[in-house]
Amino acid sequence: MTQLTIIVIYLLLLLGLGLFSSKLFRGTSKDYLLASHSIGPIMLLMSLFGTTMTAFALVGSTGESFKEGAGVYGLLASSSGIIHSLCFFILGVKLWSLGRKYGYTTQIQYFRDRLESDRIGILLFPILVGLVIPYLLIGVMASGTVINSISEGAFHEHFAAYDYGVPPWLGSAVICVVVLIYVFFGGMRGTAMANTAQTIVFMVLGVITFMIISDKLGGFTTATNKVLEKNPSKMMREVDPADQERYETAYKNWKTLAYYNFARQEKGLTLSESQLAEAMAAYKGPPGPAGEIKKTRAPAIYAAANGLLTLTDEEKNRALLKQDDRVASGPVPTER
Amino acid sequence: MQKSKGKWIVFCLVVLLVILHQDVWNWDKKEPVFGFMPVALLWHACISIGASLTWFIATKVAWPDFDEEIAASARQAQEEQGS
Repeated sequence: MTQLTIIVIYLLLLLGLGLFSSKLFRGTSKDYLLASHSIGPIMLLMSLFGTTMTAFALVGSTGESFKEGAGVYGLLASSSGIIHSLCFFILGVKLWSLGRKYGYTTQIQYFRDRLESDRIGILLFPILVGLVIPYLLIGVMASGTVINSISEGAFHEHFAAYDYGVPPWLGSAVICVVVLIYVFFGGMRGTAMANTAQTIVFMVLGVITFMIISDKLGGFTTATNKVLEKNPSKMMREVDPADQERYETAYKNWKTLAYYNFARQEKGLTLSESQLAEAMAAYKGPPGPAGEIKKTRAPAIYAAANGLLTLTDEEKNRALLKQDDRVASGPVPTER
Repeated sequence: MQKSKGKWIVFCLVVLLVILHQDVWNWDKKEPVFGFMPVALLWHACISIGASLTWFIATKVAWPDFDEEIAASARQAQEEQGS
């Protein structure tokens, strides 16, 4: 419940900021859309940072780094440092000066003038909105997911299907309403102020979280050494030979199991009691929970080693397709 | 410094950054630097710093001139024409 209370207070502060900025509104469309060009360099920097640091950066890149390793920083961060700024420099500055000169407040106004066509606006509006929607949706969906994860167990009787936390759809809806209110009432000024405040929160909490997690893992060096030991590929761009070997062994075992299951189910292969006993005795891999892995893999390895899996190429391919066990066999449970 | 020369300097720096960003020579290195920092991460952290310096230089040597007064008078003339 504490986490949920903190989220609610945070959202209320954002709302307050939006409503406060509406007091500064000067009553013109230029003030609403561009804050009358009054956003200074510091607020612009913080606002741009906050605008860019959406779900893909805070949630997506973190998950991608966990999955792929240190190279993700180069993929997302340092490349953005070059390319985003290049776009601002080549397009942004020019468009800004034209906007200032001719009083444009939207992209469509610029294109209407540049192409000397009023109808271009009708064409461009749905295209521009359509391009923005997926980006916005990522943020909305991620906010719901994060609020659900953080608030797990906050309720005792409600939302059992969502681990007694705030359902993602409800979290996303609340975030949408909060953002809508501060953008609607505050305009560009309110948005910039909210983004600046959020950037400060991201930065401060980011550093604190980093320090706490590193400390809990035993410090920078210990944490890195653990990764180096267990997942060396996460420390580099290429795949470490040890990981490659592990993967190839696992894939070979999986294929053997697929061929064995196919031969058993489709071609009537049956191991005798003595063969099964021999297979179990010869198995050297991990037994798995309740010996389940040993029970399934030992006969497959035995059959492969003794030349009992005589499948054609077509049968092998069918076996691999059939063994595709990534699809859940039954409905996914929704209740706790 | 002339703006055109400044633009070339920025262009060359950006090309250099794009080449350095590939860092194929680091792809197989996994030993951490300073005992904790992956080489891939440190290299790109330096690229980020390089990028910020490049764009700072861009604002100093290649930023286009923009005359506020001319713009204001052009806008005013346009508004008068509109009314």
